[in-house]
Amino acid sequence: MEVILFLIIISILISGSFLIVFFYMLKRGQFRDFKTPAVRILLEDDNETKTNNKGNQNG
Amino acid sequence: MSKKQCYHCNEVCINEITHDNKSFCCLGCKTVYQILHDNQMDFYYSIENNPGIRAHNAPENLIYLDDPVHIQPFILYEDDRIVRASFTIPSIHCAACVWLLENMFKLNNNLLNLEVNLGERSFSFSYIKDQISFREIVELLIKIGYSPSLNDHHKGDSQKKIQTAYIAKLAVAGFCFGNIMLFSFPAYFGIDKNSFMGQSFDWLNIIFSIPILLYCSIPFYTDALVSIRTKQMSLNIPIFLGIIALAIQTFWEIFTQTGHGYADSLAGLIFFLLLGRWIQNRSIDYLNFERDYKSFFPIWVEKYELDYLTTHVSIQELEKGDHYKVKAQCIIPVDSILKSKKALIDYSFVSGEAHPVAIKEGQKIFAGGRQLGSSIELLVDRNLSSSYLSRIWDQMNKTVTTQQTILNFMSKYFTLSVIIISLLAGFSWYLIAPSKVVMIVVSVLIVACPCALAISFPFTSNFACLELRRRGLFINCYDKIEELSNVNHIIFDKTGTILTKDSLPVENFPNGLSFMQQRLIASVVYESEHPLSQSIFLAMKQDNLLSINSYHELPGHGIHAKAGDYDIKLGKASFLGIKDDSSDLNSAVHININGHYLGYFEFETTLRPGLKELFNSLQNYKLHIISGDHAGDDDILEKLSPEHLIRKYNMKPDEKANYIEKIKHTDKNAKILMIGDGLNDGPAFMASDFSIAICNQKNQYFPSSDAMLEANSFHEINQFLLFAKRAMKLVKLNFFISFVYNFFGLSFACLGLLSPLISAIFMPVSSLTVIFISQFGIFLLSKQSLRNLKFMNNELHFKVKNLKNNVFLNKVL
Repeated sequence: MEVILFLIIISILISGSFLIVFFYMLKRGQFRDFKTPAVRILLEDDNETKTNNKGNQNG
Repeated sequence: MSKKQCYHCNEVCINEITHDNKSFCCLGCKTVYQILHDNQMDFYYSIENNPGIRAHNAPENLIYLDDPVHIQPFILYEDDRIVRASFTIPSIHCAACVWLLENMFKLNNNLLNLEVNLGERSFSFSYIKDQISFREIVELLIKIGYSPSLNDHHKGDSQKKIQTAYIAKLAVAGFCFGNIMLFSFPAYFGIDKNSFMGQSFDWLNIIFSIPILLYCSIPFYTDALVSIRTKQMSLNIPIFLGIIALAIQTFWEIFTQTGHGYADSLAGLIFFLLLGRWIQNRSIDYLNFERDYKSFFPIWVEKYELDYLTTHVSIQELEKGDHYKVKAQCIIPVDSILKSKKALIDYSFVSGEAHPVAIKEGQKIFAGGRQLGSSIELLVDRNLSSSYLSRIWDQMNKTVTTQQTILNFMSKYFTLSVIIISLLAGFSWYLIAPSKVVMIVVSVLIVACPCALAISFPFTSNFACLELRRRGLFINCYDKIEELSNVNHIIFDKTGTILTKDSLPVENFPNGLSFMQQRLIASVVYESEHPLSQSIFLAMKQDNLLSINSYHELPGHGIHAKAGDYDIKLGKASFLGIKDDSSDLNSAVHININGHYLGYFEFETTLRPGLKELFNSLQNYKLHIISGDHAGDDDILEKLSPEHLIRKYNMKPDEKANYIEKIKHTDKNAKILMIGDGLNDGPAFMASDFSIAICNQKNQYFPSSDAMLEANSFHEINQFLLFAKRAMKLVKLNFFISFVYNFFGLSFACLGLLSPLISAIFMPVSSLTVIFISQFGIFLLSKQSLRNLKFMNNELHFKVKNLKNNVFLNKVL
């Protein structure tokens, strides 16, 4: 049975490290802005190609 | 006239400019398009349709930005080579904005690390110091239509920090709560508390309680201290007592190995309380639209040092006796004495009075007036903080009274009864079994913890505010909804609120107007910035304009212009030297061409649609109309309104406030809702119990009101009021449920039957019931009482639409 205690300690260490990562991200500003990244990810990729297409159309 | 929409900004093109087979409404928009097109940035237009902001290229002198002192508030970081700065750009509103601003390096490669925050409308960037100056960046942004707001200095920052701190605490509380619940299960299933495993789990719970007590609970300790210091019986005190009782009991039981303690209840309590706090703060932070009156002022003025030399000083630095200059169309920032010969001041900003006032040399001008003519020189009479406008504002902000809200009322009695019950229970048990007294008192305090009570009001009113917001009523502080539900007097401001002016003019020309005359009038009024001129220009529907040879405008009176062989005079009757026959209430523009009087344009006053129905549906309320304007439209209102409508005219801002005080004085139960539209209603807004500012295209001043109402939803006010009333009933229902829970909990505790298991089930279940009821109840209520109201399709869009006007306004000022 005592092995459970060992497992618990390991699980606490793991989940504790997640908490630390969360804090680090909070400090880095991950939770400061929810709107822009959602928009940005749609823009970045096709940015170059579309610009070129448009540019060509307009001569 | 073609009704094409501008390719850039989506506004109807009145005077269309065609370029690249695309239509533009003005030169500014075309210029932005060209800049972007030349830099291969057309992608901007493919992200969203017509995403642009109309660029008003008013020539603005930004030289003061070269002074490091003035840009200091925006600098985040600076070294020898690179500067990082950030400011708010109110016109950021869509994906295209994000893309454009983040690709600004294509316009100028000295810009680095451009980053937009769409939610906060902020823009941060780095630049190479030697290559480009802060001023040049601002000028570039203004050129493409994104004027930064240089008056705000990151007001939201502190709010943001508080919120981040709550997230961190919430994370820790959640982490500990989850773990403690797991380690408590063995105890629920009857593990032997003296076995090694049983003790290990108890000690793990102790370890996880420590961050909860020392870190997550800090806000509750400080709040309880504040309550004690201000001698208020708020809910913070029983919360504090509950936390302490739980902690002591838990530690005692585990140290003495007499039980498993209440660590699970403690963690659950803190977690749910923090959740409630976080939600209520989130809604406040979302609605940070209140603007300081100073943001309408010029940031700096030109001050004369030795009569000929000028320096730029910020308005805060102006001292009595300083000699300075105010440009045309600028707001006078401090009370001053006129040094120039003549000035024409528009006080509509402060008093709501539509007609400008002429001031002669040596006379006093109050802060907040806008100079309509050419630039003037002034002597400072009072500095910024003691000026008239500042005093009105301060007065408004000082009168924050502690309101007797339902929550305060409840918590006072709740706190008192909890303390009395615990003492009574303790005393009774002292007679029965003295050894159990401490245990009983502690368990009463534990179970009476007002978790459900504390979160029922914030949750319910938050959900209610959200529903209202979706339908066009933006309440800026969730707990204000209670005030709204208690309203029994409604006061409307007249001009701008229930009457709208500036629609298209009615033509009153006995012989009609020939095509040539229309063209001539259009050409002349096109030159003028006056709103009436703009409306006439729209009505004339001419796009082929004549060139004007001579043009002279006497602001507020009329225009005298010459085009070819024509000599045209238009404006007020007095300007043309004729008798005024038109009715008093409507504005008229008279026309005289080559000495022949042709007739006049009349601007009718229109009532806001649905007003009659609204007034009829508000039979249960006392209605008042107060106005800073003259009594011109009284007969219209009399016809429309029910008998109990009280109408007052010619009221100054402070008289409006006094009027409200008078109602309160005569009717002790009066709860007053003030609906207005301008800064001139500001003092009245503060004096009233709840204030709503109407927002539409024409109205750009946001006074410090409790709520903003989209003008299109104006006639639905009765439904909003009804909804608020029902929402408050829901809050009361929640209070009742919370009391039922508490009753049973207290019975258990008083009988000495409270076990950790009961407590651990009991506390989260009561919180969750309350959250569920408020969410579900508000959902049903909104379906029922707000079903006629259209959803605002996009609230962000609504805000931007209004903010766009603000941007425009700042530029004009």
